[in-house]
Amino acid sequence: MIARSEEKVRLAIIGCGAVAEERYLPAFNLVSNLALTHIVDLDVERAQDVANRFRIPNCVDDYRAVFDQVDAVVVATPPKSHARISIDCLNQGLHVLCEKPLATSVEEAQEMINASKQTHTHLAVGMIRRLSWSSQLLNRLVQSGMLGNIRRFDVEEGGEFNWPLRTGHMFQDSNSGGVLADAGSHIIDLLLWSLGSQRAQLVSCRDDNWGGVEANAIIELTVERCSRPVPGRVELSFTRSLRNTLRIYGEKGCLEAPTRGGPEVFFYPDDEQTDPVVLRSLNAKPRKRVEEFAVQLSNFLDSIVNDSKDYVSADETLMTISLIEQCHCSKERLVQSWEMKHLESFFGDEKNG
Amino acid sequence: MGNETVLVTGATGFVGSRLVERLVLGTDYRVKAMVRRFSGPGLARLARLPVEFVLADLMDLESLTRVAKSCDIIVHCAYGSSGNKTQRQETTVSGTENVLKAALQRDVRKVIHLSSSAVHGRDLKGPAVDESAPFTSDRDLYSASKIEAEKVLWRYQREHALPVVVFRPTLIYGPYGRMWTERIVKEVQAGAILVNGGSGAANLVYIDNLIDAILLAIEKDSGDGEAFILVDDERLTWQDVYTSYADMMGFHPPLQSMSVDEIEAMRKVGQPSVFNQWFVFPWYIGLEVAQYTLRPPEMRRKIKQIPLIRFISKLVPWQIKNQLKGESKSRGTAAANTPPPCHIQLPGKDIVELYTSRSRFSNEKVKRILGYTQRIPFDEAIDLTRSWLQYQRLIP
Repeated sequence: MIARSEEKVRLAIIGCGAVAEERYLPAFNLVSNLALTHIVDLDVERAQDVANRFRIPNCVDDYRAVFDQVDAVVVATPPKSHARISIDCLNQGLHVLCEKPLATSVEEAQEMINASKQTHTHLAVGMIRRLSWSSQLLNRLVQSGMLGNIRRFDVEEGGEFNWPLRTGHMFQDSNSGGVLADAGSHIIDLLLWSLGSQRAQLVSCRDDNWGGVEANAIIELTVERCSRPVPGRVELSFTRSLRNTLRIYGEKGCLEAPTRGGPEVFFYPDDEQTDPVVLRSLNAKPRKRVEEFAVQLSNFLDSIVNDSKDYVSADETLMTISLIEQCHCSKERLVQSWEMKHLESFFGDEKNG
Repeated sequence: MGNETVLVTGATGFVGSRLVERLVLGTDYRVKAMVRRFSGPGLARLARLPVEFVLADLMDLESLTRVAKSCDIIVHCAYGSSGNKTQRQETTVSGTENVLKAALQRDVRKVIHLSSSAVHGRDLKGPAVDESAPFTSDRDLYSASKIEAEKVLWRYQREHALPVVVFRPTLIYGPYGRMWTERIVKEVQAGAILVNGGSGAANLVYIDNLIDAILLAIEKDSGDGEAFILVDDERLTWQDVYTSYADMMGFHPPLQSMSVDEIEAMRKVGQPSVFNQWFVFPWYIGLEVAQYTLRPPEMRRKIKQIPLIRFISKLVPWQIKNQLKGESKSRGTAAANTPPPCHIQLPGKDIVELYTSRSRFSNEKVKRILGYTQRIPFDEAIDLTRSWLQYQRLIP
């Protein structure tokens, strides 16, 4: 089923929500060796509208209809359906680029990996944040050993949530919605990848989930690097503007990169209070997020054609999924005085535990 | 009554969000949170709760009727806050009528409507303004449309015997408050101007105190058919309020007092205000030119010999003088490390009018009829607000 190099890879996109419309569909136009032939969405009216706008020839409401029509699929549905759809596609010999988070549990992710191995198909994960210039540079610098022994890390990502969702899945599924599964998937992956380790241990996680999905979370964890645990914290928010940087502290200084990407990385020889040195790759030019999606797609398609692996594989995201799963099991809550102090029932019957 | 269902419109707004939180976490009421779309930071805040989101639009009666099904009480917090003037007016007035129509169709037991003390206008008379004060529009869209919405509401009560309760809160502050919390913090950080030394009456109500009153109206029927002004007990001045916010911040430019005449004179010489932001850019170009010209001390001395310049110079705040001189250090030792103040903004005419009023609203009626008492005093409310501002990273 692998396309020959002179042919275009036939592709379908499954799921027609915000990420498809805002990112993948504009990115398809920037990639040469693909033919986007199908768009799939349960809301076929919506899918048809998008298909017309992006000139996609076929529009269906059932992903199984594309099995013998395409070589690969992009799965961009809500996370709880990633495993089922991806496994079905992999079992049909289709290569899969799945949006993050790959799955809502390690067990699901493992099943996806097994399906990929059994069918000798590619299973890539859309960890787009790794592709920014700053993330690439941070990774190179940390791996080069310029910080000496790594002592700790501190990551913050937060802003008022304004992603134009089409459905409420982000706010309704306790395992796949919320800031941990959404921003957390990116940030923890970026952290582990930057530190060059997929061995980590959760120390604690506090969040503000009061029976729905969390909007804020503070995670403490250790990442094993060179057989030594490196401690640190990750703070995530859907409601507050945070620093939006990843800081890695070593014995020779601190490196700081924007979590949302950019052309530069900052180096603080002493600590972050001093004026930083700006580091920039000579090739780095401002790049739009859509262009990063195009790079991701291009790498995925090249891997199919050349039978290589130039993408983030599912195995590489298992630890991130595991940490998020453990965070979801945490019962520790972020209790804020302004929120909780006067919540004892106004009419005398306590409800909140 | 605790097992009844409450539909909250405007559930992602300042009042609506806190009401939903208090209902879900502190009572046994079932809650439907009405939103227009699945987006926005307000939604992320509410999604932390086990709450049912329902999609509807105030201007779409069919959608309202659908989501009002099986609801016992509607608390109508939504109003027209986006779009052009006509759209905002329509959303507030016709939107309220649609809510009432949906309530009638679905046999809703009671509609609680969030109006505003602005329906009584700003030019208040007497020491204690109560609910009997006449409707007075200040020609601004907000108060005019709130008045029209109330008129619709009272008509529906008369014609259809639909029980309604109206709250007219004064200026609401506290966590997640934009206008009377975040805005004041930003003003103080930039260098706030206190009109007449801040001696005017600050009619504020803390968000949780307002929610207490709404919960009482949900629970009790004694307030049905009534309108209630909601204001905190403390007789605060604007100086009290600004000083409390300033105390939270550590370093900040000093609060400055200016009389209304001084503000008007400043406005005439073109100081940018919140309400004419378009002027900011030319102002700063002018500032650059002035800085270049005025940097040599002898030049400043020569220019000061001109009588008109001497007069204007007296009105110019010290921060702007420093900027003109090209100096960045703030006055006083405590502020030595403060970044140079900039963007001092003159209060707009509406704000000046509000800040100079000495009239106070009365909360006697809500106490007498609903049995309301203020649970959170100002000092504690400010403490809680400070914690929130720190959590939001808006203050150190």
